[in-house]
This record gives sequence, structure tokens and C-alpha cells, in this order.
Amino acid sequence: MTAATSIILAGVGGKGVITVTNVLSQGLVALGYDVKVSEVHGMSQRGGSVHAQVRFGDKIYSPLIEMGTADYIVGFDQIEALRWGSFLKLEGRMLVNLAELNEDTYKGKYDDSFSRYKHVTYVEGTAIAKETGNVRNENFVMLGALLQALGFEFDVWKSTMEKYIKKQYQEDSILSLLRGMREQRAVEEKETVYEL
Amino acid sequence: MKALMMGNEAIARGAYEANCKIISSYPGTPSTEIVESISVYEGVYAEWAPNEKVALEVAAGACIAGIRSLTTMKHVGVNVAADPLFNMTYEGVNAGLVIVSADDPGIHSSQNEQDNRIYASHAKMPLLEPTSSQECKDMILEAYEISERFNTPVLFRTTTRVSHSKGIVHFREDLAVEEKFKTYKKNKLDRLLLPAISRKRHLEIEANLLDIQAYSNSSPLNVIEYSSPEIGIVTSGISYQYVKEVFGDTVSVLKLGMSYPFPDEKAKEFAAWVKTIYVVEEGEPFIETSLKAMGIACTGKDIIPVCGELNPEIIRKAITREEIGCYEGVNVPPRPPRLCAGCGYLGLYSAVKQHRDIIAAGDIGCYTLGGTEPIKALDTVLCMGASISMATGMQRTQDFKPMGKKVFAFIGDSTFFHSGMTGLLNAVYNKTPIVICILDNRSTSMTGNQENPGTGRTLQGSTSEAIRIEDIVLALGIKPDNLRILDPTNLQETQQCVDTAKLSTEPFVIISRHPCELLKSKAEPKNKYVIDNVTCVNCKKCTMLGCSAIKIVDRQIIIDQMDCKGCSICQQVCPYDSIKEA
Repeated sequence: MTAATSIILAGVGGKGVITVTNVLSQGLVALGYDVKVSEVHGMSQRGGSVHAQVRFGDKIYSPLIEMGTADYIVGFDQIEALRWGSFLKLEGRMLVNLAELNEDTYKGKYDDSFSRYKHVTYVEGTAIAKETGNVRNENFVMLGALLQALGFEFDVWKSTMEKYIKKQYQEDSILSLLRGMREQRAVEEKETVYEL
Repeated sequence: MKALMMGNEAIARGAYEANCKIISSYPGTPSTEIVESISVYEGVYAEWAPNEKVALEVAAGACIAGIRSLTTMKHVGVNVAADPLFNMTYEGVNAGLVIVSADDPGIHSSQNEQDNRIYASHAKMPLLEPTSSQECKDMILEAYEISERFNTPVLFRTTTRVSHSKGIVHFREDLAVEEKFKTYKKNKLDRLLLPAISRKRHLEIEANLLDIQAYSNSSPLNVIEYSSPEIGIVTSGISYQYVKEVFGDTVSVLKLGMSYPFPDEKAKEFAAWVKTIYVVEEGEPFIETSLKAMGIACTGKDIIPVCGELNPEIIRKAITREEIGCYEGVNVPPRPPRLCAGCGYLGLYSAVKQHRDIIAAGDIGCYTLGGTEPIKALDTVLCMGASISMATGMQRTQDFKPMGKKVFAFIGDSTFFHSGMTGLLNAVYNKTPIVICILDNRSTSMTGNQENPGTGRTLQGSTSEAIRIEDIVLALGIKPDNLRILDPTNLQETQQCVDTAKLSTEPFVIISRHPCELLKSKAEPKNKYVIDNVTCVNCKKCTMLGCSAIKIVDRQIIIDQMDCKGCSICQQVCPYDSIKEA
């Protein structure tokens, strides 16, 4: 079978899941990969769950990721990351934004659910985005963390960001992406230290 | 040139490259983006029609007059267009005609799960099924060739996963579309479907189908991928991609890009090569039945489900019985779709819900969400345009079996134009005393704010005289005294209006007019509302409105200031004056 990397990006409508998916997939195309993307939205613009699946490699057939085979799950909030948990490979990595949940139905009870996964990285996406000046940029912090985890260099993504993000939002967005990459790098370095 | 394209965008690109010039459609998920994408190409005419029947008839007229045309719709839209669809095979096409049916297995955003491939065999027209974005683009070109070569419309069937997923599409950048049109011949008798002509045409169509079948057998649209002779899989559409994902090149595959007329010779050739045959197809046993009718033994729906969308996992488990190890799932609460904060429908539904003696027949659109928790204002939803006619039937039962109920119909502006007008005409002419609420939000919202005859703009951006719903209602025979126009965010007025309408002994129309929240979401509201938690007694009356800005956090009801649109409906329902301007 062909080597493919599979990523699930999960969030709530209006939080930038689709924007991140566009940037990610266009960047991957620019890098020469075969790419397939599957988005589930439509009625979800009215507050529902939104998720996208991105697969890239030499040759991709299915736009859908099979259960237990995703290399990464990027959760724009904890609940949405957990919703897709069983799609994660046993060795796969979860990147979870520590955004505050502002509704009782989705709060509290699920904190310890993350202990079942082998590799979970929490990202202070919302806090970092606030520092960079625009709380709505938490999606780019998460994208930065993902790109770092995937082992990409920033340079390629700068041009993709410039191409697909509106001029007036570019600076903030790119800054957030860089901060996300830096956070993830710090986490990975810490992990290396532990292993020693 | 290559680009990452949604299947729908690729279909648009293909139609453009095929010199298709005239496109008429009604929006419907998952087909909508095809028309939106093609409408921006230079030199095409694209329009939103009020419904699918009209759209197909426009495309039919265009192709007969000599220009390649396209119509696209969702699977249930084909039901609306079924009359001209079946007759177009008899009529023939002159220039090419392609009808895209975007099916929705898994019911992501529809009323049912129907497999429209059966329409192709029933209406006797060739059927093409692309498996990827690239094929969406390439096969549309092929579809027009087939249409003209065999003088028949072609059904081009996608599914949500083909229409909405993105893949790389290679295409020619330096495209100079050669404008080749067909000559129109006046009064060609084939085009008048009178019984004597249709009887003759039926014989011709049957003979033509044999020719198309011969084509189907030799066409590269149907291809055998030879590999191990142990297992052979026959598949089409997105299922092909899943089969390749699971099995790679370890099994032989018969990939059907044109599954009707069925390529019988190719199927025989395949059956002779492989020992065991599996049929992997989404929906109905369309291919399986064709194989079995030929006496070819195969396994299909015994192990592959009829219901829902397929995926690699289902196919893997069904055929190999292998399972991939995965983490145990966490049961998290669902986030069902809800009406937007500040949506005008909230006010009208709130007023209607005060009455226990109202039966509410709903329709297809955002306002269908008014039937779900916590609003639960609607009793039925059947199909596009059915609310008024169903309400008529319900009201008529009370002539025989009085229930002491008043029947209300709820229908949106776009749906009213689509197929509500005839229902209203029927209610008026036959004097059925129902109340029709036309929820006019100046947009076709659920599919993404497309234009309709009430918006005053066309798909390609020119302005037009907006059709006034009140004028239509009066023209259809509603008496001026029985027509009210209101803003549903004014609860008192809405309440009074519902009371008056309930007492009417004649057909009564309420036009509830408030622009869709998504149309004006860019403007930040002047006044937002907050809950005074000192006086709030937690009666939860405001939460029953179904406004998505009202949330319960740490057991206190709050209004999320990010989401509040300042419509004030919640303030008007609060019995304790605890909701105030922020």
C-alpha cells in the first residue's frame, strides 16, 4: 500500500477549521504531494461540529480516513478531538487546543478521557492567539503546531499563507502560525529530554 | 496546470471545457457548487431557476435549439424534474444535454437516501459515475460526446463524497473553447411527443440502447484492472477509491464509469478471469442485479450495507473480516445543527408554540430546524413545497373528524417560489381555511444564501425587479383582509397576528419577514442583551426559544456576547424582566 499521511481537523463551525484545511491542503499541493480532502459542513454553519480530513502522499485513493489509521487529530477544542478519537492510529498524535468551553453540556466530564491516548499535546491556542493580537487566530496556532509535528519548515507555508489569507489578516495569522510551530517544537524537545 | 478542486468545481470546469453555455438549476446540497463555479466562467449563461423541473426544461430547450446545456440538482430534486427527465429520452437532444444528480448516501443534508442510478435505467438514458475530481472533469466532456452521438440526455451521477471532497485536477490552461453549435431544425416531428410519435420513438430508443451498450462495452470508461485472478471486485463511483485503498493492486477490479447500459461483454470477460466476484457499490444493488440477471454469481448486498455511506473500513471488514485496532471511543454529546442566534424564525415559532390547538406542517429549509429540540414547533416535513398542500389535506379531514385544531403551513420564500405557489392556489380555489406562514428571509439560506426571485439579484450579479410575495399571494386569490405582513422579532404583533389568523374561516396568509442572519452577519449589532442573574429565577423560558446565543454555564443561564445579535426576542419572552440591554 502507498505511504499516506492522514490528518483529521475537528472543530465547531465558524472557528476556522475550513480555512486551515484550505491552507494546509494548498501548501501540500505546492510541495508536490497527491492530496485528497474531505470536508463535512453544510448544515453545520449553524453551530454544529465541523471536521475535515486531509490525506497526502505519493498516491491517494480514498478521501475518507479509516478508523484507527489517522496519524494526527487536530482538535480545535477538546470535545471535538475526542469525538474523532477512535480514528487515531495507536501510535498517532493528538494536538488539542485548550480553548475554554462555554456551555455546561460540553464541560468538565471529559478531562481525563485524554489519558487513554499515547501521544497527546495540549496547545494553549487561545491564549497564544490572544497574545498575538487576535483571538480568532487560534486556528493558525493549531496549524503551526501541526506543521511542526509533521516536520515541515516554515518557508513553504509563508507563501501559501500569503496566497490564501486576506492581506489585512496576513501578519497576525503568520505570527500565530509561527508561535504555534515554536510551541510544538518546545514540547517535542521536552519529550526528547524525558526519553534520555 | 493543476489545481485542488472539489468534485463539483471539476464538473464546472469540465462543462466549461466542453463548450456548455447554458446552465439552469435549483440549489441543493451536495450539488450547489457546480453552478456557482461555472457561473463565473466567461461566456456562459447560468441561472438559478425556481425549481428543478423548470431548470431541466430550460436546459432541454437550450440543447434542442443547438447549444450544449447543463442542469444540476440533488437526488430529491430529480424527483421534481422526473416528468421532463423521462420524456427527454424520447425528445432527443440536438446539442448535448447533461443532467447531474448529486446523491447523498448517509443523508448528510437531505430527507432520504435514494440511489438515482435507477432513474437512468428507468428513463433509459446513459449513466456516468465519476470516482474522483479528475474524473468529474474528464467524464463531463465524454458525457457531452455520448449525448450528441446517441441523441440522448446523459445522467451524470455523483455522491456527496465525490461532489464535496477535493483532489488534484490536471487541466489545460490555454483553453480556447471552440464554439461549435448545432443548427436548429424547425418542426422536426420527433420533438412533438404525441402518441404516434412516442410509440415510434420507443422502438428507436430500445434499438439505440443496444448501440450505447456496445459503446459501453468498448469504452475506456469501463475498464478491467487485471491482477490476481483469485478475487475480482466490480465497483463504481467513490466505492472504487475505497476498494483501491483497501486492496491496492492485490485484487482484480472491474471499474464501471458507465454502468448503464450495462457493459455485459466486459462483465463476462471479467467473470471469466476471476474466481470469486464481489460487488462493492453504495446504495442499491444496481450493478449486482445486472450481473445476476446475466447469470454471473457474485456477492454484494449480502455483506455490503444498502443504508448509509460506504467507507474503506466497511469494505475491509465485509470482504476480509479484518479489523484495524483503534482506541475505544469517548461518548461525547452531539452538536446538532440549530437556527442561528437572532434568526427571525425564533420569534414566529415562539408565538405559534403558545397554541396547543395548532397543527404545524413544515417544509424544507433552515426553518425545518424549528421541528427539533428545544423548539419542536413543527409536526411534519415531507418534501420541498409540501407544507401548504399537506396542510390542506389535514384541514379537510376535519370536515369528517373534527379535532378542534387549526392547521398552519410554514414555508420559506425560496421554497414558496419552488413549489409552494401551486399549493396556495389549490387551497384558495378550493376554499380550505388554513393559515400559510411564508417565512421570508430574503434568501435561499440553507444552501448558502443563493439568490431567488425575491432577492432582486440574479446568479451572475445583475439586478432584477424583486418579485413581491404579497403580490403573488393576492394574485393567487387571497383576500387583502386575509393577508398580514409582520416582523417576527416583534413578539406582541406576531402573537396578535397568529391569534387573528387562527380565527379566520378563509385561507389566510402571514408573511413573516426578517432578513437571514447570515446576510447581515458582517454588521455588529448596536444593542446586545444580558441576563441579570440576581432577578433571574431560572425558569428557562428563554432557553426554550432555541436561540444558540443562550447557554447554560456553571448552571447559570447566560447570553454569549460573541453570538448575541441583539434581536431582543429573549427579552420579550422573559416574564421577570431579567433580560436587559448590555
